Amino acid sequence: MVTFGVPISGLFTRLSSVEPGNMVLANLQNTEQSILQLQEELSTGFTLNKPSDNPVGASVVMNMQTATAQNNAFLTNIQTVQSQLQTADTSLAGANQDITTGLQIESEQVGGASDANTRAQAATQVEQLLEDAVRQANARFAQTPLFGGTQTQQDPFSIVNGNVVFTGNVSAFNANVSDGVPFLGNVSANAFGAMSDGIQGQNPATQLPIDLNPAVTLSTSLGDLNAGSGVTLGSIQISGTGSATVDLTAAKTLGDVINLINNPKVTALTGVFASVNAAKNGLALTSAAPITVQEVSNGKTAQDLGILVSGAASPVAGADLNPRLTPSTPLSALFGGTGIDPSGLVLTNTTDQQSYTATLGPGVFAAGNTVQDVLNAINGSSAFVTAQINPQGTGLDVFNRLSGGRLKIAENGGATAQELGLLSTLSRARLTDVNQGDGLGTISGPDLVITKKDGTQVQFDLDNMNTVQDFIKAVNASGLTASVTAANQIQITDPNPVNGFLTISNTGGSFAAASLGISGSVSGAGPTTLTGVPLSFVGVQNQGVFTGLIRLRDALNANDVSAMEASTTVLGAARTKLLDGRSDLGSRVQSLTMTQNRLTNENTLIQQVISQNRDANLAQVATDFQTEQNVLQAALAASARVLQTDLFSFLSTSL
Amino acid sequence: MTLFSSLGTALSGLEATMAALQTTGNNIANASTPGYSRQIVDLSPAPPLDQLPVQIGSGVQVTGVTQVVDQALEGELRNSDSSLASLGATNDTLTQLQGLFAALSGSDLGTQIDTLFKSLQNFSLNPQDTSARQQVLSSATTVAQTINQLDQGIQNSRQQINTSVQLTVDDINKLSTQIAQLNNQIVSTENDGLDFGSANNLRDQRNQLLRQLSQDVKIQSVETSNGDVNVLVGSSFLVFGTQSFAVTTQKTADDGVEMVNPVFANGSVPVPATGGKLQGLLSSRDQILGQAHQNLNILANALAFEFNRVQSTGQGLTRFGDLTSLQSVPDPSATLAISGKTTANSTLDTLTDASLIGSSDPTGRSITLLSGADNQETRQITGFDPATGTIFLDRPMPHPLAIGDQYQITDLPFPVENGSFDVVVTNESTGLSQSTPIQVNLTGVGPQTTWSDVVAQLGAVPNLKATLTNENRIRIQSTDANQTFSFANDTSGFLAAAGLNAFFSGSQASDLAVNPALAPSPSLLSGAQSNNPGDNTNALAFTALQNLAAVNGTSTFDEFYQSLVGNIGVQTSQSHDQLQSQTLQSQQLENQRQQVSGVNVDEEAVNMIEFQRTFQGSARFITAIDTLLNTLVTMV
Repeated sequence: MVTFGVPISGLFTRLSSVEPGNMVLANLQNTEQSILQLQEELSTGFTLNKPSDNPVGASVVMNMQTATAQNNAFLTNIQTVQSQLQTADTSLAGANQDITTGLQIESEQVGGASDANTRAQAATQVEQLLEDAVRQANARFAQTPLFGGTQTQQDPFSIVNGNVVFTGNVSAFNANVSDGVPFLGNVSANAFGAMSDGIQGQNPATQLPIDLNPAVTLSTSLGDLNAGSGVTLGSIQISGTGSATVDLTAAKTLGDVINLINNPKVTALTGVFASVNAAKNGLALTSAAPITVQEVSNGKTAQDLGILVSGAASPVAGADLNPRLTPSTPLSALFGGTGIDPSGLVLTNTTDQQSYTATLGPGVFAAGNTVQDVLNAINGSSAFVTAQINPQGTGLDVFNRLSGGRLKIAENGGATAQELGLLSTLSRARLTDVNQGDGLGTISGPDLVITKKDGTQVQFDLDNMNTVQDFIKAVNASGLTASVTAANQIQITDPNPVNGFLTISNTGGSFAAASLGISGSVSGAGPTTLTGVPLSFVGVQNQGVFTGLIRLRDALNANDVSAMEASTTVLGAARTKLLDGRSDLGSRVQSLTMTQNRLTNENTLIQQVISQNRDANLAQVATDFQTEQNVLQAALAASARVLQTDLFSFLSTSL
Repeated sequence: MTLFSSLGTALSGLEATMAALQTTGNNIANASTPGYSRQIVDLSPAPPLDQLPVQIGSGVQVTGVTQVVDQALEGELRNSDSSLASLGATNDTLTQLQGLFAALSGSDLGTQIDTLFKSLQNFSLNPQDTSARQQVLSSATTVAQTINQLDQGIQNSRQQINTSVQLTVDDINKLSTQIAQLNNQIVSTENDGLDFGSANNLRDQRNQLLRQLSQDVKIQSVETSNGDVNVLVGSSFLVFGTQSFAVTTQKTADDGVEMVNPVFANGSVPVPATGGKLQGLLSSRDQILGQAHQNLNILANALAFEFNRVQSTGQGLTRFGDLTSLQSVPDPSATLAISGKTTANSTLDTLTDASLIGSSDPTGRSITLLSGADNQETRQITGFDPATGTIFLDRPMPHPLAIGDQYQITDLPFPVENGSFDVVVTNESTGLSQSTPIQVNLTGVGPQTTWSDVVAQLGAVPNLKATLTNENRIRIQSTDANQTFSFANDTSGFLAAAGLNAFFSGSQASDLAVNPALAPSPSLLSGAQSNNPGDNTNALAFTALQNLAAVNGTSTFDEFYQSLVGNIGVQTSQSHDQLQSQTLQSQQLENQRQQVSGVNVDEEAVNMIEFQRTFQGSARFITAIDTLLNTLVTMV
């Protein structure tokens, strides 16, 4: 920068002898300061070395540097997660290979050329496949098990008495790979069929998740109300004998709401008192005068609390606030405060080798206990099961985590299991689990035909159905009436009053009608009922690679051809799970790669912005530096001459 | 008229030119003397001799030697000196402060915060990895120490400024005493105004002292008819005639740091420093550095609170068998916290909230502002008026409180609100756990939770014992070696405020540190919200703090830091520009002064030749008269 020094004001009449010196000094200082600045830029390569050099630019650079640091952290995470997922994929592929080999063995051994000895030898091979599958499922990345969920202290799978126990969990492990939604960074052990489909706490009548309908208490959290949607906190306007605005923003529990409404400063104005309503599912308001409750500032607090009253009323019984089930919910609060039968339940997990039974008695289901006590008792039992509150927050679900085992839940002399909707019944048994787990022997296409009394026929394809209840529903939808008796018989009634035959038969080579015990014909006038033979069923089993291989091994050891064939169904389901897992994993790796590319591109652009704001144009700076040097030299030379001359020196030389 | 009288005429010429030459010589000798104003000899014709019908001149006479001074310009110069000194002091402070923060250096606090979050990201992927945990604690320690050092640097600068204030006050006293003495001499020399303006050199000295004084503090000077100059600072006299009024300093405390403030010795009235170095120093210390200190406190407090909040409600790889809170309270039976908002504009040392009308007296407790210009300022309550809901504070706030400013009366360093937290007791053999909610009722209605209430609730949790230590800290112990405990779901902020399983100890920039119980035990760092060691949900909660508007509810940590250093950068840049501009203006005024009052050696050379020739002419005239006289004498 060229500086011309301190301007001398407009017209002037005289100069002092000091002024030229001052001006020279100021100019030289300015020039030297410019040179120092340029020297700093040349030595650092930056025009921006401290915020005051360019505050706006500095702000941009600091922002960008933070963004880069964050992106770099994301990129590091992406590399780690990619490696984790790729290692997981290798394990899933290995387990899939075990299934392929198992199916080959099954097809070799199912034929007539094999005998008990060859099948016993093959069973040993299958045992090795099972051990390999467990090793694959216990794979680690950086010392951490890949399929244990968040339980990483030990291998998630272990072989216990020839069956496989899962001690991990299927919790998600999220990773930050970019701003926004966390990225699922692990693969659930369910790809290996580590846990069964849940025995869902179910309403037997509707087959829908049961609602244990906990009563509200003073300590019920507002966040748990309205099925977990909570309450939008704000103020409400209460009018009774007078009117007042109540600020409920500080409230966290229903007790807080009641306290704030019953605040003497408020009740002195309103005369309105709050309490838990008689149904124990919401609030009640009482007053000597008609009550109205209105929202303030278009809020929805009163509505969420079930006490929005636009037309005056007294007393006011608030709406059902439908609280979620939580671990701290007392058992005495279930079913609107009625509680549940404390008799308890029996969990039985049966393998071909051993049966694991846990009886949870009245000590667990005592009225003073909480849901957490029940969960702890089930999860801590020796039956290899996991219980948890269902996603809707209305009941409990129980899962089998013993591959090779079949889980049933029975009563302990009372009705606890039924009340919790957990009782194992024929209705909710899978079709593949009836007849001691041999299934129905279905074929592709229609399996059974029902010929009604009017001669019309209805065909049923049972491969499209999952449970016995699904079959019952399908029959009911055809104009007939079906049900399951207490003796586990399927009962089908043709309500047509005409005289005729109700006939049920297999079709297309299927054994379904016979397997369901309803193959046959009855006749008569009026409603005609065909009652099947009593059916047996086995408990819920895991549908994964371990169960498939265990079933195949045990069938080979037992020289049981039909069981060998049945095992292929489980192996097929297991393969589907593994492939689904790999497919999901592949799409996630692809998504990660896209995120990685985006972040890398973003970093490049960020670096450009930083460079534009911070980096020195060295050619320009060098040129400026040279110019300033020239200016300094010229200024020094000129100053030396100017400052030497005055009239005395002229007079002394000329005289 | 006679020939002898002509000799008198010639003599007057010789005397006048001698005086003029002497003055020229004096001007040349002082050409480079700072503050010197050139002098000129005032010549006038001597009274004529009356030779009716004509009058004949009788020579020249010296009527005076006067300074060439533009008083208005001198006043401007003094103002300019004040501004320059003030800006210089401010600029020095800002340049130092900018250097202290070292933004853009690649190793500043912002970079360290980024590094902390990078280590948290790594921790979130490897929650069971001890080295990842150690990295988090190490980088957090670095952040805390840097904040400590920055705050220490700021407080050191403030104390250095105290020394400068004291030195400036001493200088003001010295200069005002000298000016008063010069007043005395000038008045005496100028015969109490009869020879007004004749004490040139003394006046030069006084002008120079006034300029020096105006560099220390902005002054107004008024010259009286007898030659005195009275000096005022604001509306108070610093010098009145021959009397000077001493300035001294008073010491006050601000956040534990002693502050030196200038006051008049007589009456302890604060010196109104509206310019000069004193103003620059005080505004640097109280506003620039004070603001930086406050901002650093806000950042430290937010960091500590948010990290404590996340840490306290999670679980480490190991849980607790015995835990004591970092915080204690003087009165365990007092309500944990009373929150509110000011309902009226207040003075600096009072706070009014109508909702406190009729409340119990909170005198003796601490009160902390949680929003507004005084955010994070903490004071002791010294009095309470229950009729108006007015609280009296032990010392003034930096800014008057505005309506709606949030406050909390508490003995804890962080806000506590109505809510609850869970104590989770885990059976280490089975891994099963049992949660017990602890209620913190602070709705303002009904019995409010106290420190002792929490202890009682904790003590009622199965397998736990809770007691108060001698220092009124909460101690929780497991009564069964197989049972450990942790915490979860804190909606009240109590755990963070009490320092139960805290991440940071301390809550201010000066005392922020990683919890001494956590620092050597990375396994206690809460990565999980369950008993599972691979659970990273709490570690993710830590990483989420990077993008949380945690500071003042409006900025992330990074944003707040960037705004802090960005603001210092803007101020420094502006101050630098203003200083440059003021320097130019001062130089220009100095040039103008030099044009009026400065000595031009060439001009003096010309004058000298002129006076020399006049002298020569007068001497020749004497020779001529002498010749005439000789002619007459020889005729006789």
